[in-house]
Amino acid sequence: MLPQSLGSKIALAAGALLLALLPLFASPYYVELGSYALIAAMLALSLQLLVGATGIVSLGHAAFYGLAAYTVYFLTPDGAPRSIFVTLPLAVLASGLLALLVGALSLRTRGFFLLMVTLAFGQMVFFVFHDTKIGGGTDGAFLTRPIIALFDWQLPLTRRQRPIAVYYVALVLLVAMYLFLVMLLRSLFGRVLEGIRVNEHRMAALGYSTYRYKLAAFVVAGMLAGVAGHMWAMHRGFVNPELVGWHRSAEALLMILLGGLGTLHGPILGALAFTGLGEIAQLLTERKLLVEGAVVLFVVLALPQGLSGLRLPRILTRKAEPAGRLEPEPHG
Amino acid sequence: MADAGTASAILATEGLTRRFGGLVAVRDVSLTLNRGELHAVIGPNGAGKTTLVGLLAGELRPSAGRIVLDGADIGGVPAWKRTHLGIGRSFQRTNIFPTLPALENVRLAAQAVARGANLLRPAASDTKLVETAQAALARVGLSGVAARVAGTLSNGEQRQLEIAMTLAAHPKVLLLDEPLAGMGPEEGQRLTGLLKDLVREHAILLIEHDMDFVFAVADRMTVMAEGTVLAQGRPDDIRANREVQDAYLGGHA
Repeated sequence: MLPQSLGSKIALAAGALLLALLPLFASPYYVELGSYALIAAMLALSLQLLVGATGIVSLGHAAFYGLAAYTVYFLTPDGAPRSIFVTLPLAVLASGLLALLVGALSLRTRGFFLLMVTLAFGQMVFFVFHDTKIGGGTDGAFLTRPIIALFDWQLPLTRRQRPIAVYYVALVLLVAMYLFLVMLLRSLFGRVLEGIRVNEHRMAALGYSTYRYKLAAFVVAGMLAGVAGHMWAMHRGFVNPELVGWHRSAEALLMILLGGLGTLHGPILGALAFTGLGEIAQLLTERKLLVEGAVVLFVVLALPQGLSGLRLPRILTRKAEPAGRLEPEPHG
Repeated sequence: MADAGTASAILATEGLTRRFGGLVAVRDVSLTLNRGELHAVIGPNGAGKTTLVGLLAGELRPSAGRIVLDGADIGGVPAWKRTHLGIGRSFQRTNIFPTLPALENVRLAAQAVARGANLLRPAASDTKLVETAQAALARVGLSGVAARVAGTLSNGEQRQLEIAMTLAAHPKVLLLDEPLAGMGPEEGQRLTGLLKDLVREHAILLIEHDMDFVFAVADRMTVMAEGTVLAQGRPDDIRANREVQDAYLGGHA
C-alpha cells in the first residue's frame, strides 16, 4: 500500500513537484482542468481508504462528496463570501455525520449487499437534492465561492489569479490527504484495517470489533471525500445533483481500478490519467465514454496492478523484481 | 464420572444444546474444564465437536444451556469479546492472514488485547507488541520464519503459527480444534511437548482425532457421539469403557 523504496518516494515527490510547477507553463484552461483532476484525485484517494486499504467497496461515496459541496451552498447561497476556514470544517463535519449514519447502517452487511445498500443510501441523498428545492433542484444552483481569509486578512486575488490559487489549495490538500493516509495506514489502526481486508473473520476471532473499525474508516473516508467536495464548490462555484449521484461514485471506483488497488498513490495516478483521457477522447471523438471505457478495460486487462504497477524496463533499473510475490509489504 | 472439582473450574457448560433446524448438533452437553488441566474432546466425525468449540468461542449461540467462564454466564457474549475475557481458539482449518508476514499475524493477535494502546501510533514503534509476538513465535518454534509471508509457510508451520496467534493474546483458556491436522510427525512431537508445557499456565480444551496423541497429553477426556456425551473421565477409564470401545475406539483399546 505504501511506498517502500527510496526510488518510489523520490518518484512521488517528483510527481508532486511537477504538479506544483504546472501553473507556471500551462494556459488558464489547463490550470482549471488540473484543479478538476486534483479534486477527482482527492475523491478517489478518500475512497481508497475503504476499497484498497480495508476491502470495503462502496457505491455511495459521492454522497459525502456532494453533501460537502451543498454545505458550502447552504452557507453562502449568495452574497458575502465566507472564509475557507469556516466552510471547509463545516463541510467536512456534515460529510462525516452523514458517513456515520450511512456507515452505521450499511456496514452491518458485507460484499454485494453492502454495495447495494450504499448505492441505495447514495441515491436517497441524490433524490433529496434532485426532487426538492433545497439545493436548487435538478438544475442545481450557483454559490458564492469561499475565499482565503483569516479574521480581517484576506488573500487579495484578481480574476486571473483566483483559479491558480484554487489549484494550489487543491494541491496542498491532496498532498496533505496523502500524507495523512500514509500516517494512518502505518499506525496500529491501519494495521487493523489491513487485517480486516485480508481476513475479517480471523480479526473477529482475535478479539477485534471489526464493525467499529470499519465504521471509523468509513467516517474518515467520508470526511476526506468532504474535503474534495468542498474543493469542488470552491473551484466551480456551482452545485447540482450529479455531484451526489452514483455515477460519480462509480467513476471514483474506476479511477482506483485504473491507477491500482494495491497502492495509495494509485488512485491519484488513476484520477489524473482518467481526467486527461476524458480530455483527449473529447478532442478526438464524439464518443468520449466509449473511448474511456475501452482504455480502462485495456489497462485493467494488461496491468492487473493498474498504472501504479508500471515499472521502468528492467534494462534501465537493473534490479529485477521477482514476479508473483505475495504482496510484499515489509512490516516493522 | 466427572470428578468436577468446581473450586478450580474455569470453564463449564451446563446442558449446552445447539440445533440447526431439525438437526441437534450438540445435545445437553455438560463438561468442566479445570485450571491447569488438558481436557480432550474426542468422537467420530459429526459428533458435534467443532460445533461445541464454536459455541464456546462465541461464533454460535446456544439454543439452550449455559456457558460459564469464571462464574459468569457468557452464552450471549459475541466472539470478539470472549477473547478479551480470556478465551483463545485455534481453528481446525488454518485461518491466518496469508499475505502478511508471520510476525504480523501474531502481532495483530497481541494488539487485539493490548489495553490503552494509542491507535494512531506507528505500528513499527510499538516494540512491546512486537516482542510479545516474537515470544509467541519462539514458543512454537517459528522464530526463524518470522519475516516470511505466512502464505508461503509449510502446512505444519501454518498450524504452528495458528497456535502462536492464540498464545499471543495470553488467554486463560485455550480451545484447540485439531491442532495436529496437517502436521508432520516431528512437528506433532514438538506440539506434544508444547502442550504439556502450556497446560501449566492455561486450561486447554483439545479436540483431536489422533488417539495416540490424545492419550499422551490429556488429563481428562469427554467422548462425544451424535451430539451427546458418551463418557467422561480419565484416559485410563475411557480406555477401559466398554461403551466407548464399541462406539469409537475400536481396535485401539
